[in-house]
Amino acid sequence: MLRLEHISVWYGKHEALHDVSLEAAPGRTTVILGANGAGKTTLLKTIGGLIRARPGGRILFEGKSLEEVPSHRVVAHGIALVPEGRRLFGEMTVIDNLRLGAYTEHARADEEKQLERMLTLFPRLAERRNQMAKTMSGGEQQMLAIARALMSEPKFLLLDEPSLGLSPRLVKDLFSVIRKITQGGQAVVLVEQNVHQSLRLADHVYVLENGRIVRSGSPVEIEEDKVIQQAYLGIESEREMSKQYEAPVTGGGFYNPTARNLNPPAPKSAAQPVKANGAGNPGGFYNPFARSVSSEKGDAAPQAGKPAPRRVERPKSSGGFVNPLARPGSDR
Amino acid sequence: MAAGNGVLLSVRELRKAFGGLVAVRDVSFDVPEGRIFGLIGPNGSGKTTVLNLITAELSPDSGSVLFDGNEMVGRQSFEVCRARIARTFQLVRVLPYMTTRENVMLGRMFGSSPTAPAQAARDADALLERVGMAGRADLVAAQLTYIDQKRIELARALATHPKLLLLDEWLAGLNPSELRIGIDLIRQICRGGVTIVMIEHVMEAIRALCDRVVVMNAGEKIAEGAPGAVLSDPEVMHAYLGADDAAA
Repeated sequence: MLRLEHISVWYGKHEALHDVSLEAAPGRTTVILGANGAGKTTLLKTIGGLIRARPGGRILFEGKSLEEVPSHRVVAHGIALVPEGRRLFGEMTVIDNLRLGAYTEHARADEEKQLERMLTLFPRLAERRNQMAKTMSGGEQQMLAIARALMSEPKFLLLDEPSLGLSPRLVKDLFSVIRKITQGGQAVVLVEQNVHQSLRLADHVYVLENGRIVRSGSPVEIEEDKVIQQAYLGIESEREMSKQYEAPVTGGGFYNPTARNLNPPAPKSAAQPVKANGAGNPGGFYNPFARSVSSEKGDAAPQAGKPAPRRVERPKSSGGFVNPLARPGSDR
Repeated sequence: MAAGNGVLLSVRELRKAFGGLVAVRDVSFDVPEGRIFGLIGPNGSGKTTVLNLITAELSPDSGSVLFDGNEMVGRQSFEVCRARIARTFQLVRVLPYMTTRENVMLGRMFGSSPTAPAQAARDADALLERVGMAGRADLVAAQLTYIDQKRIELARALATHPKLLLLDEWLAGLNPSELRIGIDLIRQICRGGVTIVMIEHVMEAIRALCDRVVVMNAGEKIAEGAPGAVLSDPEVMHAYLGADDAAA
């Protein structure tokens, strides 16, 4: 089990992570969603020991504290990060990049076996084994970055936007590789903007917003959540919002970086927002970290002029929109 | 001559080899003025090389790039910029130790319609607001996220006052909701009179924005046409989309 407790990270005067607590279970896929700038990369780097959290927070891995452990020792403990932008050794060959992944004492013993395994899992890397890493295409480089991390035989693999810049076909290949990794018993913590495909892989999902965890739940619960749909999945404007509003969804914080991301555009005629956190919570789960999240404002949007409904009533009252993933039994 | 019939950019038989590898093999296409033109294809198929040839970052082994009727091949990059072609980069190239505002000011001060610094600063702020970076003008570019750096690049490109804007995977890394806003922004820029050539893997954006797309594979143009037709072409589906993406 990988557990973060009360992790806060500051860059100078800017607080990038605020009191973040989460758990990632062994052998499972934990997905972190959030707008750009929400703190997702900072979170992974903090787990990997590349960034230090403020004193007071804890990173617990199999009962050991990692918050003071340097990053190369974090790898030795069994946590490997595939960083954003891949960070390969461009002037080295594919094989040499892979071998470097196995530098920990524990992994060294198994190096040859692991190398064979990687070349089987990524046949393309076998074809290119003696090529310089920087001369490969983006997709091949991403596969190499993942394979290099796997060479350390991690129990947890942290992936930071692995699908970035990959063609649709390579994205498919990538996600099937991630699936194979977890089927082999290794845990994955995945940061992705390819939200729909990530949710299909996920066992558990956390949503980060301005450095805080504002939602947590199963992929179904997250996908059902109207506010999440609007802010991250881009669903609402496609299916129903287009009839309600002219304007596109601005919930991603794109135009106004200071706006709270989970705060969808409140229609002029919106009913007064409901404050309660517990009552309005999506999918029947309660998130102790959720602050006001302003979500109920968004919920009320389709029922302009009427009192804001409790979220659990949404499926009936949202203008004929039926979420195919909605499970009737999931409401508490 | 190529400027006739509303063609702003005409790429003719462009070819570039790196050692034995022909990265771009005799590629030709015409970009109509005022439209959004897509360039798609697998990773490593030569799309970015085409952009680099247009902007004189690389010089072609043969072929020609006619912009507004003028030959761009043989010029230097800054001359191409002043001819009013601007671009963003897939791997962002902001000036890391300058602030966001200063990065954009450079486009204004040294682009196709140079202005004095004070005016450039005002223009930069307006452009930054347009790309969603209003609150971050004074931050040093190196501290910003990859996505914010891409926003700086777009503002900087617009600051040069381009007629043609080349976007290299500008929408990559956005979540679906941010994507929607990004798509809208590109559409607005085009409506403001800027012709756009975009490399993109996000098919939703290609379908929503492009009038016409060229598909490249292994350095060659394998298809060209309206997105709907091109994306259902069996060769394109096989090379690029993978099996079951046709209906998506």
